[in-house]
Amino acid sequence: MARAMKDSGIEWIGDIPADWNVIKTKHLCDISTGNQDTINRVDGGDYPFFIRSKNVERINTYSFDGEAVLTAGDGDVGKIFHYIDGKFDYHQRVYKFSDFRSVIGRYFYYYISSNLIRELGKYNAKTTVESLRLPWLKEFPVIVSKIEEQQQIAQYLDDKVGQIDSIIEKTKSSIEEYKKYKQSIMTETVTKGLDPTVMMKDSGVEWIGDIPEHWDMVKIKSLLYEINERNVDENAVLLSLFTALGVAPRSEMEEKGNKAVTVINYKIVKRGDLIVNKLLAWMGAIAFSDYEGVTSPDYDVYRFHENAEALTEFYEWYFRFTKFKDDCYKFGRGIMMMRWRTYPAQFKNIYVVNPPLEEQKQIIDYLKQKIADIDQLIDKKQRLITELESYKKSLIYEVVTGKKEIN
Amino acid sequence: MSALYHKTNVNVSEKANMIWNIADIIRGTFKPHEYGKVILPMTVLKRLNDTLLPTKEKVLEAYKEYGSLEVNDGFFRDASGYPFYNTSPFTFETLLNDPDHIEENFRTFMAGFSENIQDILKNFKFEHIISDLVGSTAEDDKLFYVIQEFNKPNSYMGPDAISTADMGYIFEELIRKFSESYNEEAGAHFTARDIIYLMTDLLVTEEDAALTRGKIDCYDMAMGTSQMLTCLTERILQLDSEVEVNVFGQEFNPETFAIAKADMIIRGGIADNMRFGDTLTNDQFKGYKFDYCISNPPFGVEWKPQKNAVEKEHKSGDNGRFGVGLPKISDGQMLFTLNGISKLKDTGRMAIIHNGSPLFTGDAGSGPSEIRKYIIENDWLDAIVQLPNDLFYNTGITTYVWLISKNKSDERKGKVQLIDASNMYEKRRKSIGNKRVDLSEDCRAAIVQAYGEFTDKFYDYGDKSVESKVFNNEDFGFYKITIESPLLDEKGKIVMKKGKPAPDTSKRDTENVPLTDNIKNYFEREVLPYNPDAWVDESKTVIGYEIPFTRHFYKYVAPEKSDAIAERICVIEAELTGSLKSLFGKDGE
Repeated sequence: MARAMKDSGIEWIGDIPADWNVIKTKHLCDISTGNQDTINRVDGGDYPFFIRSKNVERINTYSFDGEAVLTAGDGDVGKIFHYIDGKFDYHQRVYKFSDFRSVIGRYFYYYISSNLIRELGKYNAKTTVESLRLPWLKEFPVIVSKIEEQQQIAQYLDDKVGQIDSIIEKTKSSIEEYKKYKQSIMTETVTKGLDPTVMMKDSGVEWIGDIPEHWDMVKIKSLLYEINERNVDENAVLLSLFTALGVAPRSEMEEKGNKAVTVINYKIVKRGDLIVNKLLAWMGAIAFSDYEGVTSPDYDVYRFHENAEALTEFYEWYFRFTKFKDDCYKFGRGIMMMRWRTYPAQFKNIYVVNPPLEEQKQIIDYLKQKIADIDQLIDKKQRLITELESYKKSLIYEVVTGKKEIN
Repeated sequence: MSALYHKTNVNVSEKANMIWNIADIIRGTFKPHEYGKVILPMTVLKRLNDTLLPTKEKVLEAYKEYGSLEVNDGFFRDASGYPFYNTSPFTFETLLNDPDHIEENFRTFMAGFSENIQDILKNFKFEHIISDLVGSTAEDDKLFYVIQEFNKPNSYMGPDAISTADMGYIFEELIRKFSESYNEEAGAHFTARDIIYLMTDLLVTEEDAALTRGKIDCYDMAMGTSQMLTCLTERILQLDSEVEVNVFGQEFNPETFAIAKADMIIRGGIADNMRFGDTLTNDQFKGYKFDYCISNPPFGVEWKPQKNAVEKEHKSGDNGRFGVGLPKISDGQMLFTLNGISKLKDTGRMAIIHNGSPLFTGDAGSGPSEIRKYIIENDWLDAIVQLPNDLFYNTGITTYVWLISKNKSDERKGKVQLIDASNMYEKRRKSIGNKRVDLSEDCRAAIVQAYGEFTDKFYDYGDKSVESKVFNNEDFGFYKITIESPLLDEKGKIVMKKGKPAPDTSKRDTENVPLTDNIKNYFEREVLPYNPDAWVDESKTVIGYEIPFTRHFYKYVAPEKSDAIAERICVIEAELTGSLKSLFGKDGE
């Protein structure tokens, strides 16, 4: 059953139900800006304090008590909206809409948060607008139906948006759980192996706990030795160390140009060498290199002993994805966290697990498959969130413009 | 002097506020952080003016009689009845009678003061401050009004109205206002009160035998405005009001030195024991021995300007303070530690604040390690307390109170107590510079209790905690041993020299063996299995000391078992399926 429609006269809205009207904002409510600055915020203050961001601060003063909608006057214009009913204070560049007439606050909130950005787009080809002007805001057209219908719409959207947000929240928390699960599986597998029935013994290292009885605990220096070969080739590949990515050529990570420093006298890195940034080792800045190249002389470079029973990939997992970085912290030193260094003298003496080579191989194969599976799941969840956000936006738009009837 | 001590009932903070508010007059001419440069010296001058009023005539008579003598100081002191005096005919009141010549007369008034007061004014650079007060035009001239405010009836500060003790508190309050107006720059000269109180509580414990000695000498080698000495005196008198406390301090910043000396004059103490100069190169207390030393020397400040003098003193061995060893040129903290130790009596105790580096900086055999070895092997290191971050005005870094005791109690002999109080603080509502947290009275009490109980214990106070661990002195020492591997010829055979394998210096390695371990056992256990041809070159063995605070208090948070997480994920997934169904179900369409 199609209801009677008419042209709204607004390009980005098109047709609206025949009994709805388009009214300028200035006729529907009062608009004003606050007189506070962000620095006036008080942690744990008595009242909400709306500044130009999504986050709501606290403050001990209030300049308004009642129902209001607020939006940032500059910064993320058209993207930040708040609804409140009570005492609050607000920033001098935040607009407050209040004392609503012929429109209810909740409906106005949904309408403006969905549509302000569309109206802005009309005037501005750029995707971002620097600031909102009061005269312009006053003219902003709002589609208004009968109060009862607005109430129904607001009620419907409160309900639906609540549901969607809750699903998004749950999905986000499940992603967090999957990440934790990944972390946990990695740590457990590289420290306990794959056979849950095997006899265990204490490793002597707190975060590792028990290890299979036939595994060894060894000092890093029995597997790796420090090398300090210096580069004389001006064209050597400069390698960088990233906590999230491991070792990669600097040129791949940065826009071209910017090659400010000479790489002469940098430390030579061979494929399979371990690079440790002693300043950030406690944050996990430690990885093996898949590349030949050079790296900063401030980094430490290690190479496996020829007879070391060690697979690079296994120890890459061990150093980067377990709690090994806690060891780097524990054995590090410094006068503040920003200067917390794990020096070779201490690093070389940290104990690590050393399973038989064959098991190292099995563990890597198992983990690769397992982690790929989990990552795929996480990826799907992330797509679900994106879709839900779009669904929410469309739903609000369709309902407040009468394109979707709710009953 | 005892006459000055009679009790008055002045509201200290009210009085201090009233005085500080005189700064309203100089707003614009001076920036808020400069108000103290006017208010503090003027307060001193007014206190002295009012104190000297009753004997003013006598002093002027004595001046008439002995003014032309070369040595006349004693006559004027006798006449004034105090260790200071003023021989000028002016007082604050008479200065105001002649507004046209106020600057000239005021300078004459200042010149009339005794040498010890001149010293304070000189270090305050008060001559310049007066020029700034007077300004360049008649309209700018604030001097008259400032003097007028200080001469109002409620600005009267004579000892009959305000006792020496109360005047001390008022002055202290003014110094606090001054220091807090500085914000970040403040920390260079001011240690916040809460930190000082913790230090004094740890330094002077109730059981402390020193309190039966009748006379106690206290010393601060980097005293700033001397607040630490004031608090220490207070603490000692609180435990034993009969004891005689003498304080000695040195400071190399002229302005803060002037405040310290003025503070001492105002308190009726011996101002000559407040001395100016660089403690590292120009020690003002050679040969002195003290019962207590309390100090917050600068962290991480290079001692290049002092290098020549310090190295010379180092070379003189036991004749100087620095014979044990020298820290890195970039950080002079440990030189102050050595200075303090050299001035402690055989029963003396010291509380000194350091940042993290004196705990671990320097390899075995280096200056800093030798200094740690010296302190620990003499059994002088009593305890180290890690303080919360964000406690100081000018820095947020981690700091530690070192307690040095030349005569530990039997229970503590051979032991070192480490206390982690990094989680024992109250957040401030408003930060002052970098100071975001306070050590409240409860926090201090908890830390002092942990110190007093001297045991391994985690004190759990909900969101706050203190942890104490007791170690043996040896636990901090280690042998740094040198491991040699044999040099091989082209055929892979060991090269022999004088019947012994020659070392391959490129393979030379070192190991740190705990003093509590045995080198031979360690070598066989930790090195030989991986390097069967290696040997220890014993001629290269060195003993080092370090205090790995972080390692001892490191708390490992166990990760959750993957099974537990998997279970939770299954529950969330089930909920999600339900929610999606209800969102897109028939009702929604």
